[in-house]
Amino acid sequence: MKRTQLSKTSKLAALLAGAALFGVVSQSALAAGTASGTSISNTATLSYAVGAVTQTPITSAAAAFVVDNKVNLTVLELSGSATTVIPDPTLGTVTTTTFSVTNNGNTTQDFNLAVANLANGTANPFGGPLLDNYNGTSCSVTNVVVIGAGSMGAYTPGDQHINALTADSGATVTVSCTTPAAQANNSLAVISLTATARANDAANTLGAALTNDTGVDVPGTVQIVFADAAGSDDAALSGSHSARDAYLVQTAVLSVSKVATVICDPANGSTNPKNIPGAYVQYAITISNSGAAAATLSQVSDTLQGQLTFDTALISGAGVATNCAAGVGSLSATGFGALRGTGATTYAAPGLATQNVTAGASVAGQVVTVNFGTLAGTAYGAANASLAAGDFVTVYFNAFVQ
Amino acid sequence: MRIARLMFTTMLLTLLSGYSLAVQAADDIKVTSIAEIEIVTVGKDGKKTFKRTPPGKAIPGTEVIFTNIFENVGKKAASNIVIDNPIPENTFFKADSAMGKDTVITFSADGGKTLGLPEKIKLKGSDGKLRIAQPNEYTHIRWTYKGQLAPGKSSEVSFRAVIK
Repeated sequence: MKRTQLSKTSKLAALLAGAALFGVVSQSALAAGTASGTSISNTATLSYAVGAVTQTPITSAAAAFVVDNKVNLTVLELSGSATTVIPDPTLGTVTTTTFSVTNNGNTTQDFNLAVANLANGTANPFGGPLLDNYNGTSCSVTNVVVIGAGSMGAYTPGDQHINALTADSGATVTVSCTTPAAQANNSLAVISLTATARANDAANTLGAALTNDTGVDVPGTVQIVFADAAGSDDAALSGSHSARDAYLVQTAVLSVSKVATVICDPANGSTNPKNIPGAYVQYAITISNSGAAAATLSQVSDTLQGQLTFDTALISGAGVATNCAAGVGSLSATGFGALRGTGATTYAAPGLATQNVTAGASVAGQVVTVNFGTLAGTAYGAANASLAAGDFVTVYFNAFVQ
Repeated sequence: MRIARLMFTTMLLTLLSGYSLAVQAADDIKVTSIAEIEIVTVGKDGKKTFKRTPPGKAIPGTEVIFTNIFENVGKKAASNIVIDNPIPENTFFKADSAMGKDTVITFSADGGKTLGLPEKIKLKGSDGKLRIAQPNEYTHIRWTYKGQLAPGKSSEVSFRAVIK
């Protein structure tokens, strides 16, 4: 068994260090542990007797050593889900996301912060089938704020580091990335934030790099010991920790369809009607949003061919038996019907009286115009230009074949 | 501030006098306290090897082994040997780690005022009622050596503590 014998000088030094310990550092009982540089000192006192005579007790020299610098940190993504980006069609869109960086070591440190775009094909860190397929631009740290009762040095805009984060303190790090213009719906960009512990320099600048001391043990010297776990993009015991976040582009995907259905002809009435002169054809214009974000609709216009005449009375065909005389069985005073809903279109020709439009649709000559800002109807409801993801809106009208 | 400085100086003096006492009384019994850490290496055959080294790299959570070696360097047998060891500041006692051949080991959780076997050490809980103290709340350990230590003989006692 190998033992260290302390010299007289070091005994004295150990005692002095022990005295300093009692006076100054006894208050530290934090989760991060005893502060580095603190001396741990042990002394034993032995009392005994020789014969029947009790002797003066003997106190051993202190067995002392200093607590080393434990470097440990945690980086966490704070939202727990991908950050939604609704891209501007012409301009890049700047979106922020937040991480936390916590100093779990026993020493105040600076922390370098590095934001990285991960390669195409990287999985979404929050699960699901989508893979990374684009890179944000100008990804950088734009703000650092200390959490709760923690303590850190000042953050200057532009700094890509945390200054003087004390043991047990955490900071919220805001990262900002620009999503390129007109990025398609469900595009995914995975990023990582890696924080690396650095020496705490006195200035509000990034301190020097730390090296894990793998050399021989020196009881009286504060050595640097990396004790961090592996993060998403760094190895264990690297002095770094990392976490991932993702930007998910969510935009509306609109499609317009127009379906024509013959609802009545003068020969067959409404039973198996044919496209012959004198027949009524119902045109249904459906706008669907298969994207992931709501769209605000403006207007749709449709120019009828010269052979067609707009039917202002919106005959459904159900109201007439064997002929299609105008003005019989009118469904709508405006000549339009409309409905909206979720999922697959539920509209089926001919329309229903309850689907009459009361405002927002009009005809001028051969041009039919639907203004979604004002469109309202019994089944459709009040004017609402917003079309939620997965929803559809159908506007229909009849035309008479000349 | 002045009071703090005074206290500091007093403490320093106490410690220094303790130091000189240890040198003076070294005629009959010599006591040495050492601190070590245990490094466990697992060999290819899965066998664990325990190696003790000075605690060079000690960070919060490190377990330290403190050993007190006492040797009778006098000419007569020593009796009634009692070794008192406060748990070092910034560490806590590791349960069941106190050892010592031919000794009775008792503990204190109140700064050494009362000592007893583990199941008899009580502390006042937050509800004001007495409860059994946890090993990590111990403040002192006492080894009472059974019998006499003949001249030239030595023995040792030890415990483990974890850095807070």
